[in-house]
Amino acid sequence: MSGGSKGKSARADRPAASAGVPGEAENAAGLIGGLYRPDLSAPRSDAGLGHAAFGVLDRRGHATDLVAIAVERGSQPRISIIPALANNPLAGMLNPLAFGGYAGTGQTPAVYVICAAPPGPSLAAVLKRGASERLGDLEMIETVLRPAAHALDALAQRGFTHRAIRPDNIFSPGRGKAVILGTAWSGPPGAFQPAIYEPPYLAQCHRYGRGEGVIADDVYALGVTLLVLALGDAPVRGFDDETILRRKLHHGSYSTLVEEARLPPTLSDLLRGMLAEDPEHRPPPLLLTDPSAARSRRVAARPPRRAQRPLEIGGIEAWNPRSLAHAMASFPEPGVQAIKNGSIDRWLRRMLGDAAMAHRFDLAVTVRNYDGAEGPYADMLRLTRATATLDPLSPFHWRGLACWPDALGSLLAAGFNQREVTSRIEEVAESEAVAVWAEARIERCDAQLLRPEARQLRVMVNTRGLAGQLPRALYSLNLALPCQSPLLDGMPVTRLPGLLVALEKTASRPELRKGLPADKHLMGFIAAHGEHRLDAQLAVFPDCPATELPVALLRLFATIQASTDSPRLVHLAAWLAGLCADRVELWHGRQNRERLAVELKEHAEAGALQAMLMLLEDRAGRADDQANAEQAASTVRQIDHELAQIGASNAARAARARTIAHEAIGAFALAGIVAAIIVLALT
Amino acid sequence: MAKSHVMAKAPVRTEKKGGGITAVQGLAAGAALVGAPSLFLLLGVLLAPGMLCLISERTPGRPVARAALLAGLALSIAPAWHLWSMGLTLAHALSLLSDVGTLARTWCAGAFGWLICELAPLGVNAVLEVQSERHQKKLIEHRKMLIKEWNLKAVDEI
Repeated sequence: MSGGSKGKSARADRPAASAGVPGEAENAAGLIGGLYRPDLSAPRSDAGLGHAAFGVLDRRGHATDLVAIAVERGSQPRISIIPALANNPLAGMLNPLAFGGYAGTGQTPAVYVICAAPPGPSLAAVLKRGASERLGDLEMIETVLRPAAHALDALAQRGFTHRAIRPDNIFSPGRGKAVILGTAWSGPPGAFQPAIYEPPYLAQCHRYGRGEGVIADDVYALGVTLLVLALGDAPVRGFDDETILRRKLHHGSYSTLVEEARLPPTLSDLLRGMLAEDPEHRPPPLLLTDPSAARSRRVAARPPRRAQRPLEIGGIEAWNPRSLAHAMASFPEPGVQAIKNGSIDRWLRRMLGDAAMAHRFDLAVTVRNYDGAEGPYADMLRLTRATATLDPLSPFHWRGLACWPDALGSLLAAGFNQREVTSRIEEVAESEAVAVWAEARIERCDAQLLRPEARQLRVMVNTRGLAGQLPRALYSLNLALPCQSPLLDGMPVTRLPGLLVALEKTASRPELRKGLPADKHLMGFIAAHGEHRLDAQLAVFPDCPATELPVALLRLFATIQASTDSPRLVHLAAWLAGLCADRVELWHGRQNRERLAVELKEHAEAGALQAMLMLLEDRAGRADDQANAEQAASTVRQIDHELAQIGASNAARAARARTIAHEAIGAFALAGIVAAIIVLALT
Repeated sequence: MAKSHVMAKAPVRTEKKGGGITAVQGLAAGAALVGAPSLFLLLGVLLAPGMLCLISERTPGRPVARAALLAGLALSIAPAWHLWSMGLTLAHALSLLSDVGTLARTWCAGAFGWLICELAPLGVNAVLEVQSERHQKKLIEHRKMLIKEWNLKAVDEI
């Protein structure tokens, strides 16, 4: 409760205008949300979650009872939840207040989420104090289960999940007081959860690929937390995550975790429901607020059928379809071979004795039954359908990489510099495998929704040019991910107006002004954040020749500047003016070129990108210039023709000279005759 | 074949026309010889250089021969007048022809006519060439100005 009250007190002097937009990262004075400044000199180790955390100073530089949790580079905070909880906080958890980028003096800029500070030690810390501090059954139910269930129920009513429930992220304000759930807002959901706290279908995912999940996954984690509190230590200690996962798949979560432990009947009944394999079989949080009702809820979940003999895939012995699906997903090549040689079909019919499952499996892997079955990804698509049929709870798999479709973005962000991740995601996009997977488990997900999303991802990845391919998908799927362009020199830009401001800072440093003021990251970010306002400007990039790129960029930046009320961008304008100088040379008339150069310089000095663009795209002026140039060219051609004629007319000129001379001589001679006659006549 | 046949006929027709003029000239000369043989002799000798030019020149219109004849004729007017006033006798004609000065002046006039016909075209040609060069220079300057003013690096691309 205290966490909630802290959130309220801290929010009291927040400006109303920014209340709905806690992600106003690039704001005045470098304050997050206009109010908070992370105190990087005061690290906090007690904030839970596993991220670096720091104290927070207010606008006047005074310490607050808040913490700033750093967002890992390459991941983004949970922007779907933070604004809602910042505006309308929930009781029983540490609510987020704002998030945004902050660049401390001499520190690497990063994105931080401002949250209420923990009100006391975590349950894990309490456990370490010794047996005397351990909670009794009833106390555990009253101080841990009920408050946590209330908080989860409130989250569920808003359609959110927590996904970071574990003893070191639940805080106790004091003995006998209700616990407070810690933060879970500064990174991809479940990314820091150990496998033990995750149901098998989440634990087998890449840690950044677990997705938002459902509230039943929080119930599962809460169940494991209760078990840890009851046992005083984590169960199945000494096993690695993969072993725990296989045991859960083989024996079931409850059997694996509880093993031979003697639990009070109250807790045992609760945990049996909370640790059910199928999320639909777990009690909803509201039911957990009344543990006696939750105990009485009986779910008729059949235990997994065990085969007479195991089927070995990639060195793993599978005893039931779920284990088999996991083995096939983990070792795709042997899995595909097993499908092709019919050993899985035989195993399902003979060893498992499940003819219905074998029939469904046959239908799933029959080539004619799905799209893309004969293309380059035929084998992997068949494997995807096969695993989804064998274990409808299993996540989406592709060449050993497992994730939930809604986590493709966070997975791509985390593994953007890892070729094995990006190549797989490119293949997933190209093959629209998510849609194929969804159609194979149609009773568990909305294939109608996933099909267009898969197609959209394919279009993004296939878009050519600067504003396409994986970077575009990266920022479209992670709207709060800071732009990772090297051009921004590490500045954490999460919104479009801030991008131009950051570029202006880059442009002001001559050593960074090399080449174009854009790269694939920057363009992908703009394409993702431009919504549809910039579609026309971005559409030219796929086929844009290199010589036209500066003007295309100017057009794009000018539109962003106009639509976001960005300030004057003097240095960026100068950078672009330099790149567009060649464009001025395209005009034919010298006077036109000189006028353009002067005006371009003036607009660049004023930082007016739109005016620069209008100058360079003056179609009427360009047409006049072209017409006059054509006329001049025609005159030059006439002159050339005349000069050629002059050069070739030497003989004609000599002939003409002879004619003139001879006619003149003839005339003089006749005149001489006449003169002679006159002289004779006179004498 | 038809073409060569037509082309073969054309010079024949010209030859006939030239032959007609020659015949008329021959008749006129014959008439002069019969009517005034002394005058014919005098003018024939005085205008001999021009006549030689007339025979040897192949230029259409025979401008050199014409000039030489006209120049010679201009200085033959006076001897012919003397012959006419002394009576048109062969003796008088031979007497006039024996005057070396008269003969030399008349032949020099013919030679002068020939010489000036050879030299004058060179002078006229030089004048015309100067005019042409001046015009060419103007055109080149105008062309340069247009190319510079309109950035016409490649005229054909405009």
